[in-house]
Amino acid sequence: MSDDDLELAGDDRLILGDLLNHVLDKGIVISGDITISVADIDLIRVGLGIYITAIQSELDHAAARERTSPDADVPVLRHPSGL
Amino acid sequence: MTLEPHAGGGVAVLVSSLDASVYAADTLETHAADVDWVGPRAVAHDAVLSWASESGGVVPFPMFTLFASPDSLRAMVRERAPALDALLERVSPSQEWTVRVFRLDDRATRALSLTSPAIADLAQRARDAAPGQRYLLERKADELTGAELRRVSGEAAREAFDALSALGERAVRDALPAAPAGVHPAGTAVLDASFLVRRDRTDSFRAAAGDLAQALEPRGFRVELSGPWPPYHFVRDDA
Repeated sequence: MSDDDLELAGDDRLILGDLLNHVLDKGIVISGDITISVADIDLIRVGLGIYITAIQSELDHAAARERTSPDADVPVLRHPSGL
Repeated sequence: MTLEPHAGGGVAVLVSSLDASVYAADTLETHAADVDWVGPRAVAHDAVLSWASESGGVVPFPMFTLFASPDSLRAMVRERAPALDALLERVSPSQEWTVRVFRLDDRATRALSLTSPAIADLAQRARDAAPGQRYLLERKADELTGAELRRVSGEAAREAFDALSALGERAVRDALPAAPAGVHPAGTAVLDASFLVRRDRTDSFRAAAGDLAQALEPRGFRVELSGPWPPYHFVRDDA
């Protein structure tokens, strides 16, 4: 896949807020020949902050609807097919 | 995507070649607020790590960990191979699960009015009072309710974290986003925690999260579980 072909599928949008919270600044910290600074990651975080909140809220509503079911099993928001 | 084995070690690196002009720091800056640009790259980054995690074990690097040349990448791996080996051994038997607990303000307030005699008493006195006095009593009841909501939220968060930590190898709490003012029907986050859970304990962990959801629901809290994730939160020296 070329870099220009990257697009989000509908389901990915729903989990994006959660996903960005995992991939942006978690993971092992390495020093050395890296061209993206911590400041740039912060910039992305700030730039996407509103979006993350909006997605989270959308997710909240979706999950809140699920929670009206009498079966209180906790919904899993990612990779349900793999479990 | 290629796999770069490290000569003489058990570690290999999953690596993609990128167009340097697209990923230069100043270009990246222009994309920083563009979710249509960052989003799919975040999904792709996670997809590779999830595949590696499901296929054995992986030490995730954050998104946008970039090297100027294959040689500089190899130099990094050479230097860090023993530490990466040790980390892989530690995290590979496990996967990460993230649990968030939200307080549904209207439901939690309703639950409190049933369980807190002090709040019920104030509400009753407000109903019986003359208009001027009623206003003051209602204000007092609101203040007490706010304080009680914070207290029961702390309890719910601690209860959830302790119960799930017991089933994980490691656990970490993330800072919560600043709560906006006012009542939020969709929920106020009271816990955002990640757990490193052995693969053979996945079922017990999920069952415990389900039990927790059931226990907290009548008190006005909603539990959200996501995973399995690669061990993003558990590959730093302090985690």
